[in-house]
Amino acid sequence: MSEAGPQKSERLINLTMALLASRRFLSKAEIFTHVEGYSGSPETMERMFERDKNDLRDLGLEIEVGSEDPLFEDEAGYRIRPESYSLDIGEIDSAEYALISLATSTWQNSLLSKSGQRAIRKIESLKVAGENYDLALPFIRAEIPGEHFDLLWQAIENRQIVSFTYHSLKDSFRKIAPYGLGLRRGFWYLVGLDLEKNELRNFKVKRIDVDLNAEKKKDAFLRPADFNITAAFLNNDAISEAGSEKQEASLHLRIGKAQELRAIAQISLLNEDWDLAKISYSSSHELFELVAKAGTSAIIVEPKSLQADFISWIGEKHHG
Amino acid sequence: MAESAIDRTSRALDLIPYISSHPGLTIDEIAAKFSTTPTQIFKDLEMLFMCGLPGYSHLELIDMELADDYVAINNPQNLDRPRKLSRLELTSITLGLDLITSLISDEALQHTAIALRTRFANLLATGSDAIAAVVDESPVKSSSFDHEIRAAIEKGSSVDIEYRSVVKDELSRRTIYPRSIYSERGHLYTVAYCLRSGEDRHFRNDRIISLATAAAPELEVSDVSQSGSKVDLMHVKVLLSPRNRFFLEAHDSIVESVEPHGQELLAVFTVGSGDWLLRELIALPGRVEVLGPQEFADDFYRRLDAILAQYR
Repeated sequence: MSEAGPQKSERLINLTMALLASRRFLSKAEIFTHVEGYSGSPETMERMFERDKNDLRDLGLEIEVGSEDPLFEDEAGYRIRPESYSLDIGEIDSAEYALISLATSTWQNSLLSKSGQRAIRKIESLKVAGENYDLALPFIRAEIPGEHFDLLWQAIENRQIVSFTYHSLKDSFRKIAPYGLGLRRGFWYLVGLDLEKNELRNFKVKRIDVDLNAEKKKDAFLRPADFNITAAFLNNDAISEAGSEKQEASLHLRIGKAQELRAIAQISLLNEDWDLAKISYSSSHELFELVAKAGTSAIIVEPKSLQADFISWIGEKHHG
Repeated sequence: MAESAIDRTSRALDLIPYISSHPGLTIDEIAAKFSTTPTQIFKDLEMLFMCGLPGYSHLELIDMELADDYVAINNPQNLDRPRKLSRLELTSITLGLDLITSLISDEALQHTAIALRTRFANLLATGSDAIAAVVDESPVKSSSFDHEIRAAIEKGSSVDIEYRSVVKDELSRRTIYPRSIYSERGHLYTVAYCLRSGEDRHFRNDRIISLATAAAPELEVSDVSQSGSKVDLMHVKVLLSPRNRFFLEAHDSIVESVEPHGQELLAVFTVGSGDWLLRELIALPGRVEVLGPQEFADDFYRRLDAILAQYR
């Protein structure tokens, strides 16, 4: 059972302040005697302290473990160095502050937007020099928020294996050691090692199905030391998007209509009302979205299996 | 759901340096800044009253003043500095800076942004340790008339544009009064009052085919505020498969409410015109059931039927 409530938080803050104040390592005995909030049998206090230490580490605090006396190394002591605790970014002027505010406001997913707000509060706790600064820049929405961002971030940070159904030409079930996330043209991509193929792949997060699951085991794999997300994306020879195999579809598009499909199609004239469009696609779901938006200005002609899938995809929306 | 002791501790540790550097704030103001309730902030402060350094005499406790109309911390003890930024917090800043830097035309400011990014990136353990990155070479595309649109916003003047509308699937001419520019998924958009429709519309800048300064009269502020009432807002009630939660998040400005309804989500959208929403709903995956208003539901099902009829 984990404790909740103010007593626990109060003890965590007292512990933080004590570890931060001490220049030397504090032994457990000293902590139990002097820090408010520790009580009960030695075993109880021991357990409390172990949990508290983990909680403070989860908060990102670096608790140093060491000993004052090299002859008695088994008696471990603890402290937090002030320089590892506090934010040291130098002076922030008003133009820089305005840039940081705009930068953190670009996010729609709750993980990055909430973290951004927390960062702003910390920076505002430093001295911001100068008057308000008007950047005269547009407001930015950087991404399409998806449902999986939080889970994937945690899995990458904790090195947990993830599995999911991935929608491409054919739906497939994937098991991946997740290495990183890349944002490209508003969409997030997951880069990771496909454990079945033993190859690096990237996956458009939007095409990952709701069955996405992270295994419980942490530190389940090692990410190569030289792995770099940007390089992994820019070096297209070394890495390819999973399911990027393309297939061609033929559509009829009403002349002058279906602009979004025209942007990705090769067009030739069919008759006085319709054009023939050849479109190569790698995800039928994404193609269906565009065809549906075009309404009665687009008809899927070939392949027949794609046409049948589209009919049931549209039919799914109907009553019942 | 009750908040964990860790979340509470985290906020409390951030409250002290924040209040120390902003003496005289009210509890309401602090609550708004920390996205929580005044009651919660009050409880946090009550707890912090009891915290301090070993000894715990009045000399060692955090010393604060909690008055009716303001809060001040007279002695924060050793919690006067903000905590260092977490990896997520740093990522939120550095990636955000990557995205906005390409929009900055002022050279000095662009240098400032790049230098700032380096300062924050250096706080991340190592470059290769990053979890997320912006991998676009140019995250936001500029388009031909950005400059003219910005000038029109500053002057409050109107412009005539030729626009390729994707919603209506046609080319149209209209007179608009640009108000603001924003960027989404790498494209710039202009929010403008459109004379033809009598309401605010969003235009993607790269779909503007031509632009000329218009002779339209200067718009009185009163015209604009009245424009809101000219349009009857429609409340569209829809049952959606839960996989479409992302759609609701992406368009939260028009989502009035969302609640679970069995296995599905019951959402209410508020829109001025139904065209755009109709088209978006048809393109969503999974089951979508429009519950009302009747006219909108009829349009929705008529459109589905018409699409299906093409294949019979």
